[in-house]
Amino acid sequence: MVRYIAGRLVALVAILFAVTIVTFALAQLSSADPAVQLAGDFPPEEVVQQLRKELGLDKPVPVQYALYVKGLLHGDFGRSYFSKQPISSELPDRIGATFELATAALAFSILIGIPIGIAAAVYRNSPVDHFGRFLALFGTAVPVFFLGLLMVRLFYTELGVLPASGRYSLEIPPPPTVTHSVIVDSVLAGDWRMLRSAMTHLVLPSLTLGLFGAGVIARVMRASMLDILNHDYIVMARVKGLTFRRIVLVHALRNAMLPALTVIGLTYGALLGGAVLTETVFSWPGLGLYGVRALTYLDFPAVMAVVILITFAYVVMNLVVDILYGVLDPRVRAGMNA
Amino acid sequence: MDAAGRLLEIEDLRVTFEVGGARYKAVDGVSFTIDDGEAVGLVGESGSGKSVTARSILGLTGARQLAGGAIRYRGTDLVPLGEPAWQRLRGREIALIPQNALAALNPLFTVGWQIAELFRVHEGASRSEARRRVVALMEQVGIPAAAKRFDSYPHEFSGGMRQRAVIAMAVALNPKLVIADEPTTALDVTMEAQVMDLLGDLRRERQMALIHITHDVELVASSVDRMIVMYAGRIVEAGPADDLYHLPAHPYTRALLESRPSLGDRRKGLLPTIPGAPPKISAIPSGCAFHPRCAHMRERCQRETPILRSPTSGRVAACHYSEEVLQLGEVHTTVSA
Repeated sequence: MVRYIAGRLVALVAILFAVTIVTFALAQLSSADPAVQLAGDFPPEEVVQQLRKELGLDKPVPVQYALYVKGLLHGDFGRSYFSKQPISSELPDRIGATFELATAALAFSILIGIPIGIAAAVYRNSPVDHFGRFLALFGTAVPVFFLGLLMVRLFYTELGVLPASGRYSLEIPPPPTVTHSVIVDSVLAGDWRMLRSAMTHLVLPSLTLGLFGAGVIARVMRASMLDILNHDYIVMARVKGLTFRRIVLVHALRNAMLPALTVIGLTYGALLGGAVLTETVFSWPGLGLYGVRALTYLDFPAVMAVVILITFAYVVMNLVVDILYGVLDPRVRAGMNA
Repeated sequence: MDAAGRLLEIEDLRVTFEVGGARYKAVDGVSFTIDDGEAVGLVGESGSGKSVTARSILGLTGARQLAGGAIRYRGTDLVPLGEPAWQRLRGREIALIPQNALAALNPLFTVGWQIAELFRVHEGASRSEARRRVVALMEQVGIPAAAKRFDSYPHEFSGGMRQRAVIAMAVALNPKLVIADEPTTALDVTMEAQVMDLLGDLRRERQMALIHITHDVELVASSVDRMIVMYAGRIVEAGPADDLYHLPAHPYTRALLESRPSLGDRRKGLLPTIPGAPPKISAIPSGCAFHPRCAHMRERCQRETPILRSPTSGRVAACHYSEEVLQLGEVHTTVSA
């Protein structure tokens, strides 16, 4: 198992390395001159030349790439053309915001999707099943931004029970930054007012995103549960005189979770890459918004940083899913140990 | 009939399957009884309805499929009582030894856990007590190093060990009736003999009744008290295993026996086979369902369905000409001991 994980981590580094080559090449193909971009409006030629030297742009391209990778290894993503600030100082807050949103959205997806998927399979063609089908269709077919607007209209404009934008109320002084997650930080600081504010701000965007994931997860869960319930070992469990409830929740669920796990992992990977539309609707200052802004301003160092982070999130989630497969399925575990 | 000794009574069981809007009879009016501790062989080719009959006894046929009949356990008809009644009986009173042990074991749980579950759920045994009893049981069914094997997963067991594990599961709660659905088909001959011995031993020790479902007359003939032969969803012959084995009253039973080689067989040349194939339930022949394949077929067999009657004492057969079949004499010149 340890050897398996170590092997996968080596592969992870290789993938990230490959991604840096691609993003670096793409940045080279663009006509934007980083020195001009960073020098400000109408810069004098000497300033541009000076910056070019500082950034190593006078060196051959392979050397520039080597310098870039060297910087990455030290956590240096370069400077943003847009803000002129080091990207590494801008990212942590963005990652924290996206991490909160993605995790809460995934929790909604699982809490809604798994039970509906199970119920739809067990009570096939019943109202629960029809509702599950509706939810899946609704969750995947309705654009997230539209669903988000509906949520805002209902819970903010009409009912006035939940805030509709931002991460927390700006009237409250933020807690000292420790983890870049406002929720975790306010717990650490014992700031319950801030915690409450951060939690209520999180509900609408994460529920919007979560409904999307819930639809997909419910469909996969239903299909895999239906498949599992036809297996001989389920008949055997009935023959053992077990209750239907126990058969479904103990004997079938663990087996049916395996395909759902893949979807859950990939959903989380995608969510961690930033949910552009949702973050836009709810002015959620996460990676998605950051990436869109970087693209709009041809802020290549920032774009490259976001791409690398998204890749990292995907690859890590894939690894986590594979490890969980091993935890759940002894046959897979045997393969990992071999 | 003495109610105390009567364990199971199947009366006029009818099971139908719906395929493409049409209903077909998989089991058509089957009746038989099982007494306490009795071993019965339920014999037939695939599609004869023997497995469907067994599934019905365990309440595994859906209400839509169960078209009629009564399944009485200790005198109580289970059919109108439905799922809750069966749930009380399964595992504790009636158990199943499945055909494919690998498929019948949940791949994600240890073998020990799956057997222990019976003690834990039905008898409220503690984890450690259940483990102790399972290890003893695994040893009894011949699984070596049982204490270690408890924590193994099904894929880590060999085919023979898996079959022993599902046998342990079936007998764990000392059920009164065990239904063994071709328990040895997946095994080689040596393993088959071992499993047959094990089944016999367990049955005697625990005084269980056994329904052994098989397509292999030879295999069960010496180990069961009675045999029931099914063809195309009906019983064609039933009687004491010995009598039926040596002197069948139905041409189908006779054909089954003649198509098996036996030790000391002095016949020369090709082994006789039954021509044709068993009918599909969507196209069961008129009259006697066996008539297209029967060596003794006459015109009457094509139009008139024979009913079960007793051509000789202790035997029932559904053939218009059973007496003539009996006149053909013993099938096996050498008696296998």
